[in-house]
Amino acid sequence: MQRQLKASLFYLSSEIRYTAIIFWAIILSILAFSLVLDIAFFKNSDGQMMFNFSFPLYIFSAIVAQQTVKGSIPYLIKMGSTRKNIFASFSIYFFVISLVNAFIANTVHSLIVNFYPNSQSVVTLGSVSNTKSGESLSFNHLAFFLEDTWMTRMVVDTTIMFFLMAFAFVLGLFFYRFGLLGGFSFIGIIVLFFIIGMAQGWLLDFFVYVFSDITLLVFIQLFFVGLIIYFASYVLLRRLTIQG
Amino acid sequence: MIINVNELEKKYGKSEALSDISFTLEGPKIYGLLGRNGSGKTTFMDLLAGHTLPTSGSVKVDGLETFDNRKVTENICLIKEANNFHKDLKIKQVLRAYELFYPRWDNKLALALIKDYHLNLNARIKSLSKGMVSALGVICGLCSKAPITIYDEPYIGLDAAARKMFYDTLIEEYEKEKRMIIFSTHLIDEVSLLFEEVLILQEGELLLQQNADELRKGSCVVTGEKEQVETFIADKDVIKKEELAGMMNAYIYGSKREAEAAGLRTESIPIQELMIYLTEKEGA
Amino acid sequence: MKLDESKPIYLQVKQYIENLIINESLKANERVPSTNEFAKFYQINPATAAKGVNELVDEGIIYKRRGVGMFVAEHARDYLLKERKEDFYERYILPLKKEAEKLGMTEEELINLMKR
Repeated sequence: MQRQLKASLFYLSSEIRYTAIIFWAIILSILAFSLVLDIAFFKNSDGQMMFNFSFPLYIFSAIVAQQTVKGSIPYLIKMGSTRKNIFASFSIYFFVISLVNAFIANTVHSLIVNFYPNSQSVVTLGSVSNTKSGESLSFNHLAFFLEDTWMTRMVVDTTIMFFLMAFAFVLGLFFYRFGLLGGFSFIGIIVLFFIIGMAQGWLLDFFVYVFSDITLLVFIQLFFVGLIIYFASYVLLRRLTIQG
Repeated sequence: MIINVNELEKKYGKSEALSDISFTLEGPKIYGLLGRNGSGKTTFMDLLAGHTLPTSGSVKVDGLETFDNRKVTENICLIKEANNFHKDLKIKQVLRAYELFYPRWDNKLALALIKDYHLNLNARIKSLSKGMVSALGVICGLCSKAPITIYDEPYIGLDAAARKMFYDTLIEEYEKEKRMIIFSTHLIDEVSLLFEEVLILQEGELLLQQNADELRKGSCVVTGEKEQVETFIADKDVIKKEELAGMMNAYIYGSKREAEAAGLRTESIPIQELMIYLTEKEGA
Repeated sequence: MKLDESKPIYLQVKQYIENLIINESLKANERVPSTNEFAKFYQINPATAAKGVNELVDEGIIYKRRGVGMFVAEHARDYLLKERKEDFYERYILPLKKEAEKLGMTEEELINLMKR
């Protein structure tokens, strides 16, 4: 068991390395480009630049988790991995990806805010803004509702990413096992759930309730919801076969 | 290792890929698994390796189910025609992953073979030619030292020299450490000398399972005047008959000696041809 | 020698060794190539090569020395020659006569050809 776990974690880490390097190269070069632009044009002017790490990261994680079903699981099975081992190793894999991505993003964020005097960490969403004038490069982050520290941003990003990955993984499994029809039916049910929730009002109430008094605990809870969704994936994984 | 196949059936939708086949493979031996396209070879190998689930019946290795069973799967290595490796991986990562998954992996041999086949450890799978990917597949199969190693058309794009090298290494390794090797290939002429036993599948059923030399010995082409041949084959199992200008060729199960004693000319049948005629007969 | 893929391989291995002994490439008490050497040289299954060699052991034409290898027996050549001579009629003369008959050749014609 332990040997297989090590093997599949090695395999997954080798596989993600290439994709992750490309992703981070793009994100960091955009950031570098923004810095250059800021120094050249916006410094000491009224212009404002916004930079957001979180959303590209969330999207990236979700795509990775969804693609990994078709892209990695068949190879692991081919090398003799058990489904249980896949289940165990992917939980670690998703958590570590969330953690590492959050770590890189928020460390870079903190470094620039601390060492580049013309930047600031903005806790803002949409038009709600508390930007100070004169500081033209801003990072915004969902930690908006909370105290904006490296640690809170870490918790927020890690938990959201893990939740999204667990969800996208299950979605990927639906597509893998039941084809397009099965996958879209699954999406359909989720959408239906939201529509009914909105129509009857309880979904909105729920969000208002959550966001009106938001604390870090909400994100911890989100993480556990992600964990429950992840556990559900085992039902789909248990009898998984290689197709095609 | 003993593989017991018991009333194994696999359906894809309504089409039946394997219909109730039963047989036993007992290693260490080199098996040739032959048959036309769509005869069920690949379906069988997938089931044996635990990649898919049977519709009914079972494949067991030493009495254990193969699906999702680590004790079995770490002893089985199936190398297919394509799609054995993730395209973003480097060769050295592939080797390391196999090393971690297969407890008997021989890394020294792997590195030596990588050199022999002129592969670059740092090259990514997606940058390799078809032949190079096949070479890597062949290497992984050999070095896994899995007691059951299965090759399903492993050498698309490998040139004749590389294939010869593969056969050489295979024999060398097989001599050092006997194991069960199952070969499925269309290049029967080339590898038939390696087979100890041959299985022929036809439309999801097992047509024949026999020692390769017994098969060579037990079948022949009988040639002579039509009437003479007809009388001779009256009580024989005939695979195929051909006629030309009053002469007849009959492919039969039977000894050459008997036919020669009856004054007929005989010739041996290569396994490749035998398979073609056998599967033609059944298909007709 | 090249192997004929269509004929039993073990028999061809056996015949190959017999021929080596008959033409004295291998003399009495000399070492016979091992099963593995045969397998590698001809790219054949070692078990098949072993079958050919083992039949020769069973017939007493070669003998095994544990851990050392296989050797040609003392009177192997004499024995093989005798055997081959016995076979000669069936393998060579009989087909010859049959073909001659088909072509309508007389016995005399045949003997004359033989003397040529």
